Amino acid sequence: MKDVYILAVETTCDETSIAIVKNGHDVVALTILTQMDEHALYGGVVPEIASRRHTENITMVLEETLKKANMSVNDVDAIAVSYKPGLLGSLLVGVEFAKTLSFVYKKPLIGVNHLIGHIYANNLEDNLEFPVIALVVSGGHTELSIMHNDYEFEMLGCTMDDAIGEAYDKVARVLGYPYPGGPHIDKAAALGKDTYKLTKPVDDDTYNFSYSGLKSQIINLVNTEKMKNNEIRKEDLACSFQNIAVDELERKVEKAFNETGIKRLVIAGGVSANSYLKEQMKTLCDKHDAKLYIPRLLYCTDNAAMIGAAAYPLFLKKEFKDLSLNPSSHSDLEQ
Amino acid sequence: MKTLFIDTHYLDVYLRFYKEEKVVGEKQNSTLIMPMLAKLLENEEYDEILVVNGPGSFTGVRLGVTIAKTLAYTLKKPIKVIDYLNMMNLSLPSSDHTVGLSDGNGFFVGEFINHKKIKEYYYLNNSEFKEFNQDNNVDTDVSIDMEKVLEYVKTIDYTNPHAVNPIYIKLIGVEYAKKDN
Repeated sequence: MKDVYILAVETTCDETSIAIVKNGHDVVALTILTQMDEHALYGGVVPEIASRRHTENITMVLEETLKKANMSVNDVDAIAVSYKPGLLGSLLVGVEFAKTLSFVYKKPLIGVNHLIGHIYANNLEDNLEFPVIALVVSGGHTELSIMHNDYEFEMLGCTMDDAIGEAYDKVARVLGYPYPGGPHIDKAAALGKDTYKLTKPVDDDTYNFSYSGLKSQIINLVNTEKMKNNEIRKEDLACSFQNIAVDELERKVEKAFNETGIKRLVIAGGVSANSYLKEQMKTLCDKHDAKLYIPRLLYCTDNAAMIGAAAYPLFLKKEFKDLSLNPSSHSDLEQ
Repeated sequence: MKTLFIDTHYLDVYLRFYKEEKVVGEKQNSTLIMPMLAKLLENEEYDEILVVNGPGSFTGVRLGVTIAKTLAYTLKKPIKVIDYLNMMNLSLPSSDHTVGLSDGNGFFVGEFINHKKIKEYYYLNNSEFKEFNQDNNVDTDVSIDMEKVLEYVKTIDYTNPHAVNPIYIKLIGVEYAKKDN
C-alpha cells in the first residue's frame, strides 16, 4: 500500500505545534512552540494570550516543519487538526488554519479529538493493540475507558468534579510553586514523606473519581497552618497529596484489570508525564502481567505528532470534515 | 490588479473583490468564513490580499488575519494590512479629525491630522468616551469609501505574511492587573 502522509495541527492550549506523520506511526517532522514561559508570568494559561500567539506563530511553525521534512504541503495526503476539547480561542486558530490549508491544497480535512490524540501518541513508538484499558489524565480530564478497537470507546468512569491535573495545579499554587505546578509537586513529593493524614476520596465502588475534596482539604490545611503560624512541610504535603491522588487511579485501574480481564493499559494526557504515576502504574502492570503503554515525555505533553497518529485510522475510514468544521471546548472520548 | 479584501473586524464578515477599484463580489456571514471564501474563490483569481487587522472583535479579527496570512504564505500572494480606524480616517472628507469605533463597552479612538495618525490608538470605556466626546467632536459614524482606501493602499508596502498580525488596543484582564501592580 502507498504510504500515507498526514500534516497535523495542534493548538488546543498553549502549544503551537505542526507535524508530518507517515502511516500513523513515523514522525517525519515535528515542531512544538510552547508559550509556557509567558503564561507562567500570570500563574496559568491566559486564553486570550494563548490565542494571540497561535495566530502570530502558526505560519512560521508550518515553515519550520516543512523545512525539517523537506516536503511541501502538496506532498501530504491529508490535513488533520485537533478541534476539541480545549480553549476555544486557541482551537479556532488551528482549525481555521487547517481549513485554509485544506482549501488551498485541495486535501481532505480530518478533525481529531485531542484526548484521543493523547492515546494514539502511543502508536508513534509502539503499536497499540486492542482491547486496551485507557486512562486519560490531564488538566481537564480524568477518564477510564475500554478501547475495543480504533475509535471504539466504552466509558467506565470519569471525574465527578475536578480533573487530577487541575488538583495538581491548585495544590501547587497553594504551596507556592510556580505554574505549571505538576512537575514541582512531582519533584517535591520525591523528597518528602507521607506524613500528613489526608482523607481519601469516598470509595463508592464505581470507576468514578473525585479530586475536589482532596484539593479543598489541602487548601484548608495550608490556610489553617498559616493562621497558626505553623510551618508547612511542603515536600511532605506534596508527597501525601500525590500518594492519595495516584492511589485513586491505581485502585480503579486494578478494578478494571480484574473485572474486564483485559491486560493492557494505555495512559495518556499531560499528567502521564508524572514520574510517580509512571512508576506506580508500572508496578501495578507488572503485578498483573499487563502491557503498559506510556509515551515518552516529548509525546506526553501536547504535540501535533499524536494528532497525526490519531488521524490515520480516520483517513483509512475516509472520515473527513468539510470547511464548516467548528471547534468545541468540551468533549469526552466517546463523543 | 485585483484585490481580495478580508474584513472580519466586526461580527459580520466581509469578503470582497476589488477589480479596478470596483466591488466584483461580496459575501457576508458571521461565522463560516472558510466555506464562504471557498465559494467566492471558485471562479475568481486575484493578485493580492488586503486584510483588516483590527481593532474590533478579538476573535473575529484573529480568524480573518489567520486565514489571510495562511493564504498569502501558501499561495505566495502579496499581502497588505490596514486597520479600520485608518479606513474611517481615509473615508472622511476632512483631513484633521478624531474617529471612534464602538465595541459596545467603549470606543477605540484614533487621532489624525492631515489624514496621518498623530499618536497611538487608545481605548476609552463608554463613560470616559462620553466625557472625551464633549471636548472633541469624534466621528463615530463613518461610511467607508473603499475607493479612497484603495488609493491609499497603493502607497503602502507589502508585508511578510509571518508578520501579518492583529493590532490589540484594549488591555485584557491580566494586563490591567499587571499594570495596577
